[in-house]
Amino acid sequence: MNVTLITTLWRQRFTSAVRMALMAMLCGFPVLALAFVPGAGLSLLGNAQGLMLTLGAGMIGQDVSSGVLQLLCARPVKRSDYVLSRWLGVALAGTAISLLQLAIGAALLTARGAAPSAQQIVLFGAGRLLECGGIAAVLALCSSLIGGFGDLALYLLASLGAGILQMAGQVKHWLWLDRFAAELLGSLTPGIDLQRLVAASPMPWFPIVSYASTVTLCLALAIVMVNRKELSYASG
Amino acid sequence: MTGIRVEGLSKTYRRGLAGERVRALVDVTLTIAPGEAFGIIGPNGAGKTTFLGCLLGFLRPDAGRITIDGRAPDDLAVRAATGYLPERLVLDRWMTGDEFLAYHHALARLPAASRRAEVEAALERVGLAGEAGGRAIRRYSRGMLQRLGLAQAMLGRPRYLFLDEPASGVDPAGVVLFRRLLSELAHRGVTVILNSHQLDQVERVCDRVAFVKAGRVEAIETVAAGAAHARVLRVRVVVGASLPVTYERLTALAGEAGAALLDLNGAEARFTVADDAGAARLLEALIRAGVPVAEATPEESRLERLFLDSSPAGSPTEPTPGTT
Amino acid sequence: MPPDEAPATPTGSTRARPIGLLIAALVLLVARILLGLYEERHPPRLPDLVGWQPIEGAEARAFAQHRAVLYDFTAEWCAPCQMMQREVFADLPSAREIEREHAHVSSLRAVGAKAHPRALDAQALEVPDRDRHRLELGVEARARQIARALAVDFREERRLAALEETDAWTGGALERAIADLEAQRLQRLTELPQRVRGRKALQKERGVERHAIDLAQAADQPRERLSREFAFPQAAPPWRRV
Repeated sequence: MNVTLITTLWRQRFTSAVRMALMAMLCGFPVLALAFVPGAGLSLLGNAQGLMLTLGAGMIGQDVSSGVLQLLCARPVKRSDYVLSRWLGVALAGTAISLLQLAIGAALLTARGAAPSAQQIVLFGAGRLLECGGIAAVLALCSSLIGGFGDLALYLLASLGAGILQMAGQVKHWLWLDRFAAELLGSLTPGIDLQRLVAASPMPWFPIVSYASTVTLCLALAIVMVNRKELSYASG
Repeated sequence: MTGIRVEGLSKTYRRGLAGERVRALVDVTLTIAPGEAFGIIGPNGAGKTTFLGCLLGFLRPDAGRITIDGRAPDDLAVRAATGYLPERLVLDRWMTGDEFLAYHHALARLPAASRRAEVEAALERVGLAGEAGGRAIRRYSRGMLQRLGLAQAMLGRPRYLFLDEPASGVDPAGVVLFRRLLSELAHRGVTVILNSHQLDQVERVCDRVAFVKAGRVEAIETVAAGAAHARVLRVRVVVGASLPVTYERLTALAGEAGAALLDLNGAEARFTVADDAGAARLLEALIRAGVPVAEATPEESRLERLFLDSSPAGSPTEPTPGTT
Repeated sequence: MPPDEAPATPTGSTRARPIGLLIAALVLLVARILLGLYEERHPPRLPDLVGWQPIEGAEARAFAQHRAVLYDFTAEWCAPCQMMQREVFADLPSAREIEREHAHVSSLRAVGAKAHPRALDAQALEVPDRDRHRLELGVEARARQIARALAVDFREERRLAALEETDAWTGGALERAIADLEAQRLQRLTELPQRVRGRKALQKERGVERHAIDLAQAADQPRERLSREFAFPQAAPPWRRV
């Protein structure tokens, strides 16, 4: 974990006009929707997928393909630190924006008389935190595999592929395929449904283990991929 | 500090999906003593960039070993003592010059207290003092980029400095500045590894030069030893003045000085001399005889001759200290 | 500052493998697979907060309170049913609302991997006859649907409508009418040249017809389990009431 790398990532993301505009739209519209349909509650804010894809696209791949990573690796920086810093930077930035969105949303709801309970707010915020960390990890892996902004394409292709597999499993009544594809699809947007977790008894361990497994696996693989990279234009 | 040791380094690439294997480096062995200024020259595609990549730990060799100060090239301690200026310089375009240097200063784990002062000093050293520091890098000219790159490489006074075509795209004033900086560094005991096509720069800065061709080190020359080599000296006399000497007179003068006249075209005469001392004797003899010598230059530099020489066996090699 | 005096010179490779993370990832992956398999065998019980009641007395209650009866036909493999289970029945306010609105709530769950709600086996339910015919509602509705699809002559449709009005369905008259219709239909189909109607359309109709035949047969023999040919390759599941 390298603080310099994290803060630099934040500066880069938040000074990019395109990203900021996209994020404003993605986060702004659900909040506006809240103002008009307060009855639906916080769930109208949706999930963090769009936000994370905007923030995290190209987090490693762009550095590799632009050549900036080469100079960075000439410094005493561990490549694993680099990957983890990028992940954490994106995840924390996403969480911050999510919490901001939550705060505004809760305020709007309160103003319209449909104030969410404290438990709801906390659970939503915590759920978003986990989701941001999860999607950032998946994107980190995708980004370490393909340069530029190809990680977005890879992510979408994987989602599509898993969806098709799931449909095939359901149509053909192959429960194992259906289940496998559902797991895959779930892994692409890792998160824990905290409300269900809290309500269910006894507490199911599977969602927690599943989430932790996805995140650690993605990060470990991303680090392995970056470690193996040969950073020289001579090799390209 | 034990310098850089390369033993039996080989690296092969697989080009494209068809898998044509390109042998970029074949069994390279050399040693660079600490504090030495080492030049690498060679034709395009000879494997110089690959060699630098291996030295910097970016590429993993297929065979052989590299140690820098007794450690692997991608060791953190080695990284902390290294500065690198890549040939294809790509900097974070959204940062300003100040921010960029501060960023690399922090990455190099240098103390934050001296950051601002050192960044300013670095910018000034490369001639980017003033408003250039506050300008976004995307607005830098080519020359400014290169200067910033050198500033970044020199941050923190590294013990090993790897420069890949440092003066490319830099204006002549910048080239002079670079040369001065490099000489300073070399005198301070920094080990400089310079990869350049600018042979005169290499000759002026480096102690030893390796000539790389087709993945092999064809020759390692000591620049100082150039003094003892035979060459063709081109002497130009003042035009317009009546030529006080004829072909025969020049031949005789050359013979006295231990040289030989090759030909005489108008105001220019070409002599072969045995070494620096021979050249000095020839010029002294010519001037004493009243020949209005305006200029005397070697026809080809020794390093240039390496390029033109197609047979590696014919190029003069000197035994170099420390090579196994 | 000379680099030799730099504070805390780091050591180790820039390419150091994150051993801790790799081990954690491996352990968690194994745990995930094992837990997943375990959950397949012992699926977690979702809290079902609706007070489902046995099927007896549903009608009486409905008439007494002038409110509807809610029958929930559900199955394990049915994804929308599971979603309903998770989001509506497990949510206390929604569950209470459901109970308030209806006079009676009963849930009928198909057990087994590939059961389908179209297949009903009244026998396995062990419910009184009066209720059984209500449950056969589904079969009959489907039969009527198919008959309608098959009927190319509106006169035939009118005959069916007349049958409905006479409420003669319990006597098996409807099924017999369908069987008659079916025979005529088949005849018509075999008479028509195949190249006039597309092959696929023909196959589709044949499929529908087969269903109708099966249903008609089954309705005639209500005590027999619906057979394998009824479009699903395995035995019809026992319906279990909650």
